[in-house]
Amino acid sequence: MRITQNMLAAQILTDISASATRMANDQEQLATSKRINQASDDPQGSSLVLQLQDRIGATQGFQNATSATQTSLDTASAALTQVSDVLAQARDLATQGSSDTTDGARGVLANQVNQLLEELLSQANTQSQGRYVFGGTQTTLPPFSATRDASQNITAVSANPLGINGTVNVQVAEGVVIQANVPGGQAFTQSTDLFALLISLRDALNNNDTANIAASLDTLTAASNQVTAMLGAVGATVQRLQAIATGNQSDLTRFQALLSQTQDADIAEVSINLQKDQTAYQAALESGAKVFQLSLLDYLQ
Amino acid sequence: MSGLFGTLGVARSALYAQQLVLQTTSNNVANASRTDYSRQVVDLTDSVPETLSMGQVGTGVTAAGIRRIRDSFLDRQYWQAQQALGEQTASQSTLSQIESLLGEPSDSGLQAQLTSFFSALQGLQTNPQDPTTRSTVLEQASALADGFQHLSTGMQDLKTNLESDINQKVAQINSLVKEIGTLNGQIKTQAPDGGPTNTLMDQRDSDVDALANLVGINRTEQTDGTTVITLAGSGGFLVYGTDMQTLTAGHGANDTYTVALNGVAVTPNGGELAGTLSARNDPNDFVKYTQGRLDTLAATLIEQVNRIQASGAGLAGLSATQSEYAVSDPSAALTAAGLPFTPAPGSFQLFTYDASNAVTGSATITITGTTSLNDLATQIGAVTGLSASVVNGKLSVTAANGTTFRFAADTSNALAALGLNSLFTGSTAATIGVNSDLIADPNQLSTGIVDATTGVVAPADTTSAVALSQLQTAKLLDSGQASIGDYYAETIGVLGTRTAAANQAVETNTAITDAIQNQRQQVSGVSIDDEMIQLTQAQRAFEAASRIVTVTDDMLNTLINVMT
Repeated sequence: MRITQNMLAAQILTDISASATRMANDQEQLATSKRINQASDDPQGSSLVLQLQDRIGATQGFQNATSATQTSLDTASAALTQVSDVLAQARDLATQGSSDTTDGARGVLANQVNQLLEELLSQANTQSQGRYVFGGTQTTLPPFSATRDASQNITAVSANPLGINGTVNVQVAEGVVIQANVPGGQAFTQSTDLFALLISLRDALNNNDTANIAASLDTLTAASNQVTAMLGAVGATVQRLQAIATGNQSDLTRFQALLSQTQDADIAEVSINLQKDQTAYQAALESGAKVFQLSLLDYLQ
Repeated sequence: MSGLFGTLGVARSALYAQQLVLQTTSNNVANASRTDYSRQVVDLTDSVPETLSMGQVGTGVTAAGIRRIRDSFLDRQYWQAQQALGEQTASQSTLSQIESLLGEPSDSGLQAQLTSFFSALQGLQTNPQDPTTRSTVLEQASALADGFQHLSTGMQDLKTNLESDINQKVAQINSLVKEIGTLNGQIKTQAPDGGPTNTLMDQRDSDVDALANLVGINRTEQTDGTTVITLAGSGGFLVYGTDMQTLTAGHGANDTYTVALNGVAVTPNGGELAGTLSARNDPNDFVKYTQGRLDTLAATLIEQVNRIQASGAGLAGLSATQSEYAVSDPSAALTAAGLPFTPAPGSFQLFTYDASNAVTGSATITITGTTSLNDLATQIGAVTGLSASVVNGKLSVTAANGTTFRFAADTSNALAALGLNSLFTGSTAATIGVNSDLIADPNQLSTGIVDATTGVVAPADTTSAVALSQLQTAKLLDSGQASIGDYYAETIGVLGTRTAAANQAVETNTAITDAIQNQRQQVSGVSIDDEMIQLTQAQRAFEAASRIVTVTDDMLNTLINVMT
């Protein structure tokens, strides 16, 4: 087989070029720590990486939504616990007031009920991060407002008609949309109007109206049950959110692990390859140079 | 003649012959580094012998000719390999550029921008009344629109570059064809002689090598030494002896850029030109495929987001809105009026409000199979406090002073189809933008919903915000198989596979071409060692012949001087 100088040159050039290309690839992987630097490096891997980025973004969003909702429901839960307390104290006072006591004593009880009423109003208008927790879909205005008489005693409490029964929904996981609020109407005025109840108890105590006091006592029992049931529902939602949060976290961990596995370069392996390819490149250069220098002309005189 | 003078003659022929060999060898050595040079050898044969009574006596050596060592079979193989290589190289170059423009996977490509936009939408559902959250959504929408536009511009630039590339290649082909035609003429004139034709043939073969890389060709040799070069696949000739035809390039139908041979459209088969034409014109690959996928993605996003935005409720009602898309004919049915998105028969609610946000009026606007834009304007204009007009095919709705209005419960998709109260403007990846009305007043971004019966809007309602955030995982594309992220990932995957395949094809074809070139060099290449040996041989032969001249001269001298 004839070999010409041009063939030798072409061969050496091709081989050196191939070595250099391999080295450049290794170098790129080391510099970026990524195995995939263009889509053509691994088309299926690239597609997977993009999908994972999308999923990770969505899951992080879910996490934020979940935690914000948990905060808001925790606040509602705390307020409702206070309300439950208020109702329990009101029951005690009503019990005392329904037994035979003097007018003056009932007056003292009435004052205490008045204080509980103010406390109830305050709890109903609880705020969390500048928004009214029980406002329903109107959270910038107080959900409940009181009309007062000349001595600043509450005569009636009315609910803001816009949004008091509104539900606020939030997507907390893929395909999972939950109600993230406790509407004030549902908690405070639906079925049993807690304000009207306490107002009527206070007035009954002030008027020594034993019949109404007894009636209030019965309603208080129903009211307490209502609030307890509400607390139970909120508790259940909070628990569900906890499970969803755990699920979201484990999804996130899983996606990030898969992302790393698909796209990250094995630094140790690439370093070794680079070393190998550098040696090969050097060998190609050296041998090429040597072979190229030999010629018959060196030996003809 | 015989005798001593005859011997001188023989020696003289030897000297001439070896001088010719020397000249040829030196020519080979001078051209040794050129890969398109075919080595030449001198064919030496016996001179016409003298016939004497005892038999034939040799009269020396003559040069029958200087032969070019070339294997035309290998040449043919080389041209075929070059065509395949050229086509694949052009494909690979375009796909690489597309890959580099999209730049995925990365932290700053379109996927990252989509993720940021959807994150902002998710934030909206827990904080619908927060001004910062609302502004962020609009900023991210703008960034996303910019991202789409940037890619579209890149694709357009790529198309333009491919066109100028085609022009350049056509010019190169035409110039090579001209050279080959001229060389044909020169070879034909000198064909009966030997010698100089070798150089001309080398030049012509080198031109054909370059031409084969550019465009698929078939070549045949004529008896008068000229060649005929035809375009592979179409049969039209480029060079026929000294006749030549030129290629021209220009815009064709359906957004293509085509090539014509002497005015007749042709589709070259193989070579860089074919590859570049395919890259520019193929509707299912390269630039058009990518542009198409991006457009579908943008259009889906625009329509779905606008649908929720249009019949949702922001914190503020509308005082005016104008449709984004123009109809071709305001009196034609909306369902066939050339809108980028299609409405269907249905209806939507329209509510008007006074300055304290109390509902002052309501109307049900109906869209049937025949409702036109003018009909719609009439229906809307009939509502107290609103006026509607059609200008340049676009609907404009304005509220009187102190009045605002809102849309609700759109079952016809007419609001999104017309682009009323929209978030995104435009309908393709090149035209996507964000409604300037919303940027000016982020309170108009829909987070809640209008009660379809009462017209009441609760400010902390999150119905629209939840719907918007669900768009990220909804299967909106590929007939309900793929979400927006999936669709884009699929596009990148497909392009990546094609690019990897093209890279592989170029590597393989380069190896094949190199192997054939190697074989050609084996046959026609100049080996310095070879030539040096040839040189030494010639030198020794020359020395020997000179010696014979000296000896014969001596003998003659003896004869002449001794015999006086």
